[in-house]
Amino acid sequence: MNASLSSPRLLLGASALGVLGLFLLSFLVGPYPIPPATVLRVFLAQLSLAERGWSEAVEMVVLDVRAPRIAAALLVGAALACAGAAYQNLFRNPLVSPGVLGVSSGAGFGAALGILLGLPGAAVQGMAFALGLVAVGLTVWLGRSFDRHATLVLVVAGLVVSAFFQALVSLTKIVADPLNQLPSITFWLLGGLTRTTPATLLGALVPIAAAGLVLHALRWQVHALAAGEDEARALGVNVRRVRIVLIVAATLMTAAATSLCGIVGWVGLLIPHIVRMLVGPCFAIVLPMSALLGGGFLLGMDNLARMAGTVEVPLGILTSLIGAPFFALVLARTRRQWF
Amino acid sequence: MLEVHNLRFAWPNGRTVLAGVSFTAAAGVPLSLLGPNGTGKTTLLRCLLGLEHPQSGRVAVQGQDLAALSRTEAARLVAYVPQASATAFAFKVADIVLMGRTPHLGFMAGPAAADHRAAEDAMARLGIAHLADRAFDELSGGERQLVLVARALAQGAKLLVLDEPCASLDLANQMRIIAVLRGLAAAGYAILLTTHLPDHAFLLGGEAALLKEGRLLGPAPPAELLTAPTLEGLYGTPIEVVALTEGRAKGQVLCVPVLPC
Repeated sequence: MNASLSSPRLLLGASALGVLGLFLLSFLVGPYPIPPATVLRVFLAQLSLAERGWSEAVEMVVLDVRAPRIAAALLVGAALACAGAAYQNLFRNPLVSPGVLGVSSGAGFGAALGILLGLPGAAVQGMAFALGLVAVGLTVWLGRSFDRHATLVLVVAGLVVSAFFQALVSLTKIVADPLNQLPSITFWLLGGLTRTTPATLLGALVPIAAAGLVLHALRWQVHALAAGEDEARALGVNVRRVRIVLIVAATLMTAAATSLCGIVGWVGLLIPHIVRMLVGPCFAIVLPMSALLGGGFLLGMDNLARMAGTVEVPLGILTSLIGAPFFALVLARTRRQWF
Repeated sequence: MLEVHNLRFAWPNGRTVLAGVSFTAAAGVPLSLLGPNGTGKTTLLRCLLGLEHPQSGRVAVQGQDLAALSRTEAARLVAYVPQASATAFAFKVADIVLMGRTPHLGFMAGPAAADHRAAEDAMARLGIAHLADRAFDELSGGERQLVLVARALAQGAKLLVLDEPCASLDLANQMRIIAVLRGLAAAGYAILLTTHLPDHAFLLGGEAALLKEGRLLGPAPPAELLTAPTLEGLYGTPIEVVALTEGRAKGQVLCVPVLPC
């Protein structure tokens, strides 16, 4: 058995190296060309290992513009993929996405409302985060009032809450000033990392890292949960507690990620599928692998967005444009029967 | 090993399922539970696993009151073997058997070498070590059932509760499961299973019990309890119980339903 575990571990290590390579290459991408050697020397200078011999603009582009954005892409991709994998295990359904409980719609409304009220960027992020949590809270409350114990009811409640908040978003758009506010709302909803600053990055990093640690601590319980609620209970899992903690953690991750970069679809659905294809469905390995591949995928997409011509294509459009057909391809390859 | 005292269970709509059920099951004596569809065999099993909460009564495993135990503690004493069904994800057999170690894992910790060894031992014991890397969903029904038994063994509990382990299996696989259960009983496990076929109780030996209208008849040795009049009363259909008098299965008792006319 240890032998059979070694190949997923090998893939995990290889993926980590690949993402590291992509991370370094990403510093070269952008409208302002900086040679690789200079990027490297800017890094080394931070560790006082190289002499400064470049303009302040170069250093600013590398450290203040590109570094936060690259880190944000990795963080958001990892968070969405991990949350997707967690929800899929919880609902025992591989077709569930991180927005299933309404967090994206709630966050979208929070951001739209924040922009409508003319709040500064950090406050818009805060509003998105808070309303994302409110939406999931509503879903859980609604689900409990239908049926206390059934997990599937939550999916239905999530649909209801999502539809409600989407209507509120539309309402906000109608009310918004069409010259300034409406374009900002539209761009926010399409998703993108252009607004990232070290402060907003840190604001998302803390909840995502904390929730990621919690999911890591629960990984074997979540694995057993895939056997179904009754069997998981008989295997010693406190299903009710694990379910609540998992929903809170995955929601925190998704809300934090969405509040940082707007609505970016397909990552949370596509990445866990690819991961299961590569390393099998055991959640203990799916979780770290999803973090790596999710981060790598979104960083790659964001690089494409930054490279593509004079007008930046919103990240959410790219992930859907590439994610949707890719997902169809993955489905055709796995050929699993779900229905 | 298992003591059940005056168990009462009713659904919220008031329908009584268990009206004071008491029995004990000892290590080494498999207990087959029979009863018509919908009499509450599964509910009884679920009460013993702590999945349903009886209104009154007491379930004790190895002298410990089940209601007072945490989920983890209970899982170290009782293991559940459900009917094999398809899984949501394409698990390998080894993934599923390793799930049995869940109640033994520490906080934040993953399975250690000892846990992997326990899972391997459980598979080897049932002769399915060669299936470790196969996809669970691609196995035959009999193999899947053995995998779930292996998971229960990996769990380390001495009481195994099986819900119709032979249902929808072909004859050879039914005999394979019964042979495995006899072996486990001989090795000191306490085994409680439900079945619709009295023949299984005869083949398994040990004891049998009948559940009808919330009350339990038995446990008693199958030859004493599973007589034609009792079974006819239980199922409400004509039944003959015969013993073979010659051939390889000489002495084996069979339950033969008769077409009602």
